Amino acid sequence: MSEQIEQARPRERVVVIGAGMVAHRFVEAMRSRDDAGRFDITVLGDEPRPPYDRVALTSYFTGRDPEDLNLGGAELWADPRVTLAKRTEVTDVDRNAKVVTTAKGVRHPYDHLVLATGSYAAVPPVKGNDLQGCFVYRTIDDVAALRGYVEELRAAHPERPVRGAVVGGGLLGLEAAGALQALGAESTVIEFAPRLMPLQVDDGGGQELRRLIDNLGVEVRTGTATQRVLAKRGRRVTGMEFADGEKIDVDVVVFATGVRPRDELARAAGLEVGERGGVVVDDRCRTSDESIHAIGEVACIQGRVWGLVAPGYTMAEIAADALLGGESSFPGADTSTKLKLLGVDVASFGDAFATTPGALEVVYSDSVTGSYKKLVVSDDAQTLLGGILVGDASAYAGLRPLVGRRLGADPSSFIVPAGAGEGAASSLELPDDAAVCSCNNVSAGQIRSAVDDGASNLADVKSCTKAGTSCGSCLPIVKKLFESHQEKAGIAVDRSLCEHIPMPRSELFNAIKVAGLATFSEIMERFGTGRGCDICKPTIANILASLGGGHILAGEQSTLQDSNDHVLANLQKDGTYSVVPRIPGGEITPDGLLVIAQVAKDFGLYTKITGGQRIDLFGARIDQLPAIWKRLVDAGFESGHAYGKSLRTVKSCVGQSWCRYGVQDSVRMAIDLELRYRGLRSPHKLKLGVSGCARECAEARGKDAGVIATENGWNLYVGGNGGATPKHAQLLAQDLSDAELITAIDRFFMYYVSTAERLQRTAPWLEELDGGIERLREVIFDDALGLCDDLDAMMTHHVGAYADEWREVLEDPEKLAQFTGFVNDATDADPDLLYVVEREQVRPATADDRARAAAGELDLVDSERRPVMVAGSTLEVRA
Amino acid sequence: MSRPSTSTESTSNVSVSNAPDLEGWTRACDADRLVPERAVAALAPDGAQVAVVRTADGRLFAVGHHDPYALANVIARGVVGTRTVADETASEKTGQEATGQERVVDVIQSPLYKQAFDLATGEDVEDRSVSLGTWAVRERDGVIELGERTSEAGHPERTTR
Repeated sequence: MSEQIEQARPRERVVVIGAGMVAHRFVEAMRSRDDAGRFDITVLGDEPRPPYDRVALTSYFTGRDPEDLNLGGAELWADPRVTLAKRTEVTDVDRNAKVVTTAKGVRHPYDHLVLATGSYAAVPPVKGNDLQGCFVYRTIDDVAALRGYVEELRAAHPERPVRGAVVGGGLLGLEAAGALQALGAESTVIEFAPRLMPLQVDDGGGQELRRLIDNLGVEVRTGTATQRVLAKRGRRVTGMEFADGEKIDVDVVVFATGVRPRDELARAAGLEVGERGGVVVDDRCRTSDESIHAIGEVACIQGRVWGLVAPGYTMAEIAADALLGGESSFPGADTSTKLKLLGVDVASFGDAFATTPGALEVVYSDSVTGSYKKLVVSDDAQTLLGGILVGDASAYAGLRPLVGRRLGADPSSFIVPAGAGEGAASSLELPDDAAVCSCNNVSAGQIRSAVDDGASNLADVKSCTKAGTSCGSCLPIVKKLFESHQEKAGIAVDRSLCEHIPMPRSELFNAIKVAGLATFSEIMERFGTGRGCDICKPTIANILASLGGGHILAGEQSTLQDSNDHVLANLQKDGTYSVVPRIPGGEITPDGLLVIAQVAKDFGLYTKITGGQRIDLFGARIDQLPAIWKRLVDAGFESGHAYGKSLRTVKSCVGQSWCRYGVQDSVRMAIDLELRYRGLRSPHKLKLGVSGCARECAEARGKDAGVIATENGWNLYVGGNGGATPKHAQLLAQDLSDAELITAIDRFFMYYVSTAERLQRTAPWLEELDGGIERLREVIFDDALGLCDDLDAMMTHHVGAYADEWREVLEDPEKLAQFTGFVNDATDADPDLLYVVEREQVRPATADDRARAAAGELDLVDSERRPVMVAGSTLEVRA
Repeated sequence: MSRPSTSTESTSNVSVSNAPDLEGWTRACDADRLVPERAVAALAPDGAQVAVVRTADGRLFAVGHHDPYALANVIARGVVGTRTVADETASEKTGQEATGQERVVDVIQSPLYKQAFDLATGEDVEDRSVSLGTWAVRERDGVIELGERTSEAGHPERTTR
């Protein structure tokens, strides 16, 4: 009966004003928990885009698309219970009628209203703050406008750098300074307080931070008040004047002096507002009107407004819980932060300023290596209260969850250098209730239960707990917890390659390399059991090829190859093969095209340009492959390795030679790269792209290694792919010379080949790499593992030993012998191969086609493309 | 559908002593043409396309070349190896509960959709009602010869093509 009442009740309407990160989290929480389908949710946002990751705003300058910042999958907004209205400004809240009205006059009635309007950037009341060239740093539009202005100035004054100034030396100000630098502008940071980041670091940390930032070429002026922004003539910014009368020349001014809650709607609606702004809410995020909740930066909770995303997320969860009938309340905010500003790590957590009575400080400061670490502990030096880390914040992930807990060791042991700090912290056993991910409020216990519930890898843990999915700073500790708990729970992590090889590919690769083994038999004798299978045999063949084991069909190796590698062609559904000649960089002469065309015509091959921009010839019988390749090799073509786990193609745009926008010769670089890496066997296929300018016509960021031309050289992106789980490549290095680029790709590929798992592409490999892209940079450019010589030698060997696989087959009768249809029938042709002619080319006949042919409704051709006669249900080749 | 014979009853192993008459045998290829652990395709006396394999330890097998799932003649191009499977033989014969024992069987894997077929019986190790069929095969005077069909092919309810 109660069920009937439930059903009869109309759905409740929830209107959310604001479409930022916290609004997104609220909607996500509602949708994941509203099992009964009680609520319809309408989100009204004034920006022209769905909610995005504002914390990562600066990454917009390192080439990320604005869409990359979008939060949540498109499915959340496609949910029929959720409506997102973009570019929609709310102008009125009528609490009596329970209706909000937008600027366009649209009325949205509500049962529950959630204010998530966030903040606006505060601009200090200095004269000239509205001149052309003054910006704030809050939204994608702000950042895009700043970028456009700087680029315009750079084009207008190519003879000198653009001069930028940032007013505000806090977290956002340093972000903005980094953005200016990324745009190629000079930057000066002006801070009123006597040190940078006054809210997060103390004097000692501030000094170290300033030293590090000075070294990066950013000028820092602390204790300086801005008097006014100057314009010599017109409305464009030309300079600034400080309170002491000093003037400097600047072209662009970014104000980053904090944010203010956008509480004007609430004020107009008569809701209670805090002394310094913000809509007053109780511990359950309810305003003075019980139908209205406020969450995030617009809310004044426990007497404070929080300008951080973590407390905002907590409020979103609490508000959703309240609507769903839960009882949770705000536990107080964790203000811990870890940031990388201008490449400098800064972390601050717990009672960073030692305000607890009797608190003691343990400080380690080293201006030589540029690091400052401070721990705040209780008066008995037993309990960790907080800390500040500048320069090297690697200990953060391990230390932050320990706040409020006994350290169990000398505090100084946690911050002494050489990684000992991290070691000491991570060796401690975190209690289940210790918060590990503060962005998403995930405890150590939740990570452990995820493992108990069957999460078998880090990606599973991330997706089911959300730990590490926002800022990612806790990932090292999440990974350690995951691994140690798996071990402890006795969950044997079966990393075996297959039933014959008891170790993963990455370990097998090194085992084979170190033991110097060169044959399958030796490898199985030493590391495996049995005779192998279709997993370990091709994997071992692939490893031997990566290590320079000679022709893949030589001797015993031949028996290991997967069917495609075994005949150096791609098996299609009817048992015939397709043929892809290499066309380096996609550059081909008309004569070359004629050769391919004639071969396709003579053998009746279906011809198609592939997704990878190559020419693919389909429908060749196994016994036809040598004759086809003889023609191609004689005309100067070579294997395109479309069949191998190896380099496929280097896609390129036409580049500088022809294109009016190109800034480098992308075709030449693509050819050089393709000829260098051709034939390289790897855990999965490898693709590259080279674009001649930032327009990125080669779609290089969708490749394992993407190269994009700049005026000064090449930017290298790594770890991208298309396919079922598309990933944009991440920027590894900028403005590389030709030689630097090649060295970087050499090392990246060989490091990947040496350490990845079977069928693991570069994107997931990079995601699982400890330390991610930064670690990769250290390995490749700083030789952090001492491996560079080794990696270089491996690639040199590969390049030197390369030979065309097909040419060698054609020259070797023994290898040619396997290209036979039937060992005891010279005609070779499989009579079951039948084709339909469609759009003037052949395709394999389906069972349905065959039935229609038998009924006389359809004509078929055989593998020689001769018409076949159909008699009854059997098909006979017409002589 | 009749169940194909099990490996112990099959004549698909080399068993020269009790071989049938020379009549009815067809030459496949020279023995040294057969690289261990890699199949070749050949035509059997009944005209069927078969995959002939010699395992690393020297045993000979002949199974159907036709992939019953993909409906294409490709089996000889698959990887040869071993697979550990649950031993259901005892329960089938005696009607008793499965023993839970495991045994290692020789398999050839379809190069298209990777099903593993038991070389001795022709059966898909994961669905023994599906089979490639088997043929008699032997080595005589340095020549590999194919004989009569020793078990029928079994087709799946659903094909992948």
